[in-house]
Amino acid sequence: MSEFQVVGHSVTKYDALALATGEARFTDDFPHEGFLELALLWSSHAHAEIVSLDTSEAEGVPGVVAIFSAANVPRVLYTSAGQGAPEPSPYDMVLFDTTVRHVGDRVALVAAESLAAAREAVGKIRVEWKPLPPLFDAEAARDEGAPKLHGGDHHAPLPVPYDPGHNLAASVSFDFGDREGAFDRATRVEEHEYRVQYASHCALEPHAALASFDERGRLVLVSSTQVPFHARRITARVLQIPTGMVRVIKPRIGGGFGGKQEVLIEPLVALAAWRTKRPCRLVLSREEVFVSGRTRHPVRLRLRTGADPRGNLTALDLDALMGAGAYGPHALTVLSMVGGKTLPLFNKIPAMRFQGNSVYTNLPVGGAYRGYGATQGFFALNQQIDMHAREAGEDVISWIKRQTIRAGETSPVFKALGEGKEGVDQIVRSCALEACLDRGAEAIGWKEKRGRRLCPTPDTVRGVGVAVAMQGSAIPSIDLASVSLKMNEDGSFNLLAGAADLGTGADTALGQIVAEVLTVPTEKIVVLSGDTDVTPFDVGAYASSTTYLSGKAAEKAARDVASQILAVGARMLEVPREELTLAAGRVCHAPSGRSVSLEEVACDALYARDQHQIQASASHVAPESPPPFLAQFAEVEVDRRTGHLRVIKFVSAVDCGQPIHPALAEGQVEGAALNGIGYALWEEYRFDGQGRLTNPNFWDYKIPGVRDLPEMVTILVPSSEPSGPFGAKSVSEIGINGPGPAIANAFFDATGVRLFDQPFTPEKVLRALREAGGS
Amino acid sequence: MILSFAVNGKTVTVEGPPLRRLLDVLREDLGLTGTKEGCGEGECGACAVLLDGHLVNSCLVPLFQVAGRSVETIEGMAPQGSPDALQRAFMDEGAVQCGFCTPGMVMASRALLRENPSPRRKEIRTALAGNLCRCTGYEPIFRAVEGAAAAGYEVAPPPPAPEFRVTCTEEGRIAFFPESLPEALEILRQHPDAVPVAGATDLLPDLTRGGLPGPHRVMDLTRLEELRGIREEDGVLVLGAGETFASLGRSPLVRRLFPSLGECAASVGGVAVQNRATLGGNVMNASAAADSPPVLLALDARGVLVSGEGTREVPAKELWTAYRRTARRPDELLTAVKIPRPAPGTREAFFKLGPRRALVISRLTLVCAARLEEGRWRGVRIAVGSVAPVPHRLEELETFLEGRVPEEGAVREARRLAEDLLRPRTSREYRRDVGGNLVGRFLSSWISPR
Ligand code: FES
Ligand code: FES
Repeated sequence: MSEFQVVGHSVTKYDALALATGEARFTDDFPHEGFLELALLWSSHAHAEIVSLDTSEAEGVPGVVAIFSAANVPRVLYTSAGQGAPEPSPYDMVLFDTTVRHVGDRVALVAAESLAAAREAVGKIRVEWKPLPPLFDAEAARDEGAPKLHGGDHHAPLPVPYDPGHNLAASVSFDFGDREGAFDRATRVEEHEYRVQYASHCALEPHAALASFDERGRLVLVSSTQVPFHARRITARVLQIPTGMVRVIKPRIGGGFGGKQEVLIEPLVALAAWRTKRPCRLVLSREEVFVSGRTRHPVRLRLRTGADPRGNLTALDLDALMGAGAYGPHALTVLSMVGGKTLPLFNKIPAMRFQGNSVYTNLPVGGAYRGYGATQGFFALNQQIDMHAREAGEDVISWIKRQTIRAGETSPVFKALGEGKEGVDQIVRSCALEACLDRGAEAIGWKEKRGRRLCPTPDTVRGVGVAVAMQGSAIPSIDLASVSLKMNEDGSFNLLAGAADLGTGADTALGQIVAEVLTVPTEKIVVLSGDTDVTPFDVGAYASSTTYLSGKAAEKAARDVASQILAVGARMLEVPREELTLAAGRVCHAPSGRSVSLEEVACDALYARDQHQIQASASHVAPESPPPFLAQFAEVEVDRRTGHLRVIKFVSAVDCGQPIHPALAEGQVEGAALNGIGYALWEEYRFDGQGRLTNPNFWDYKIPGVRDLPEMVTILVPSSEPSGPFGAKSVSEIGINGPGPAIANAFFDATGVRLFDQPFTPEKVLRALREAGGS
Repeated sequence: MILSFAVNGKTVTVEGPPLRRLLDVLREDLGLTGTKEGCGEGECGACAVLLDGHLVNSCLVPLFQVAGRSVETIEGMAPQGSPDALQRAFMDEGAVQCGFCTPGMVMASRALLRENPSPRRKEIRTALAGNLCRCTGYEPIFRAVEGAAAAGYEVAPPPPAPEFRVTCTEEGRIAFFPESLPEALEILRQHPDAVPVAGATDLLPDLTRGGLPGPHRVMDLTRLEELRGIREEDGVLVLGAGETFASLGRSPLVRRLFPSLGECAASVGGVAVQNRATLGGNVMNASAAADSPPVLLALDARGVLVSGEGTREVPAKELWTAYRRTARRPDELLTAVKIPRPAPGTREAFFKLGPRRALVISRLTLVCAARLEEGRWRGVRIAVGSVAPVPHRLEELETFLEGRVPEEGAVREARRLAEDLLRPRTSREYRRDVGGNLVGRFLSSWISPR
């Protein structure tokens, strides 16, 4: 099934045993005896000034060691976004401010001998507030009279649009082609408004960090992070200590999905430890994650599209208004990707405009979330193409095939929209979207079910829908990955990778790539990743980068090591190097049939002649970001009396290039798809009139469990990406982009009614049916 | 307090306040960090362990209730670090992504396979319903359980528990462990502030959420045999207040006589919660969103309240007096719930919208019962929960329907009446609509059998 020995096979995941036996250590599983426990006082106001903060009573609580607040912590502007330096996100926050901007903003931090003492002290901090008018409505954020959240010295460290005077955390725009002319000539114009909502990543492991000291007095952070190197840099900067004084260790991580691409609590534990000279521990509760952690940015999309009589799109105008929340991490880049990771798919459209604004509100802070803007953009696009295809009387699948990008083609959008700077021109070199559509359609039973409106009971009706998507693989010409690799006497290898396996199995995938090059089983590759003292630099786990980018770095290093092995082998066998090959863990000389083992090669190099360590390191930056593609199909059943919308079957067919580890790749797609189904149906933030989240727990914020599970089918459609390691592209994010629109399209197929507003709660569904007179 | 219990077959003695979470005892005091905390509210299953062989969420188990019991954790499954066959199946099927949910999933699967060595897909789903995984999409986890079962995975019986021995140390915070009903009643007489604790599935999250220290005196109800049993006495079904939802859901008697109660029991959370949450606790906690009260109302149940002075039976209609208030006096204990055998031909329906225990999301529980006698509806009872501070019957609607002939017009009228009678404070329009529709659906079953 795979042309490779190791790549393309579902080998045992390195950490599976330790995880299955409970021995693997997550951050909070490290011993922490003698650590100070930390607790935070969070703002209960959406927008207020702290007039005074009285900690005297709190300090009297037995066991309290220190209390930190704006009064005693230096004011260093930064962004918590774990991005490359300088970050494309505004510097609009400090550790502790005298103004709070959302319910759940930080007010003070208590370090105490026990958690109970820390919590008690938090309750005894007296704050005198001066409430400021809050801003909850993103639509009103740019109005002259709107409350302003930021200003003063808050700024963007990169030359990007930033206008806090109008509550603008970021804005983007581009256009090309004669748009208005095209709209004038269009025979059919659709214009609709869509809404996608706040959501929490709900990685099962909440944010956790431990800070202690090594024997040289350096700060050692163990943290549940996707970005160890950015966490090190940002923490050191906020504390105003040299980067070299900080070590960040990423142990096993209980999921991230973008939520841990944020340098959220590392500076807090670091601060407390640095100032008290005691080791410190902080683990957020689920509620704290909901309220103070990062979220998916809510977006209001206005999409106008024009088509010619054949239904071909001739003009597109997309306007996105994104709620950044109280601060602006990822405000620019997620916004850019609402267009940047969606519009290239529709590269046949001759005239396009995309404009977006990301505005501050006194609500929870947005951030990176699997899909990163593409999820939001595709929600609108996929519904609108369904409309156009229907109007043109064409099956939407054949419509999509005609109108989307193919291998060998490009889109001006690639260059127009980058992340904090211009994007890069690129030609799509691998694309199996057509096959994804065909195989997915067959799996869902498209022909038999589309447009049939089957009614299993008098009150229920069924329908099917499709959505397509793309993503990227790493940020082109920005993201850097590196590894180093050395050989041991027994023919095993240590791979030190800067990458951060956040539970995806990236360590295993990297090991497989190296093993493939060196023709050894994966057990021979000992992977250590995500320790800033030990491994070379890597931007970390985001932008769907690890397999593609870090994988390529690993492949390069392995090839270097392989050629060193051959050189030693040539000397040992006394034959020209060119006549040697690596096969099954041996250096082979085909003409003579002689060979030496890797053990022998390693020992020869280490102990015998011309002694040296066989080793290599390699870096990789990709000049392009090859998109994976996918088609997702939903079959739904609607109860017209209760508004209950149930997904019966869900099919994902994805082109991720050559999957390195098919089972893990499938797992990524399926997990993402289910996350997307939850987002489509239930997951949302519900606020009261004061900007307080009313459902910050798994009781009220419902994520999909076994009971809600539709029949899931996942198909990996093969392709090969020339620029990726062994043909691989990314796979971790894309699967979340299709469920919302696929379900909405299936709902339309069943009922003839459109759902523009996620999530599709029974209440909204029933209302939509009512308004359409369909019930 | 100081107490002993068995962990993976070894007796341990720990000291701590009675309401300290078993999860913290395992992780912090005993260093068994394989058990994880994902929510602290009983909703994710990451902290699942086995207690006397039953799956429980250790974040919902107060320390004092494990005295003299046997706890199994993930560490006990692979004592030498070599995985057992179930763990290996998880590895092989790719069921381990980040692995944070894995220990809980493995424990839930183990509990299932101990009872049911070759489960069907549906049974696996039910068994894992309380365990969340954000990474995998669950499919590989199902395959792992099936794989282990197919390979003949055998689960040893739970290791024995040590003798029950406790010492109360801390002044003021006291736990009582009555062994008999009279003893429990005597404790309540002397200490009216003592809080009876059964499954603790509501108590502990309430405390964590409110950041509260909890009651000073608690009384363990799990040792009272008198609160157990499901039996029929003279045409009346007697359900021990201490029976868990798991046992109600499994009871053939309950399922046969009162399908709506069986359905209700099976809908309460996952297995770990059903194993702990009791009927009595659900009734006495009087949460507006509790699942069983509307069922008991519709079934004309009565609560049996016992004190040193005697026994009284309170009809369901009078049990819940106001938001989170019941008719129980501090010296009384709910020992059983009695439900009269339904008249022959009675049909029941249990409808529940919205997730369990949700406090914000619009919910509605509607329970209907009626029968046809000589072509007319008789014994119509319709109860609702989650729409008002107290669950209640829609009596006007019942009166309207009583004795009426099933036909479209009556259904339409009933639907309208139901909408009028439902007055939720939030999501008003929606819940009224749906309430009316569901009443309509129930009644229509006599007109156009589905
Ligand atoms: S920690 Fe989530 S159920 Fe216990
Ligand atoms: S594997 Fe990550 S939560 Fe299940």
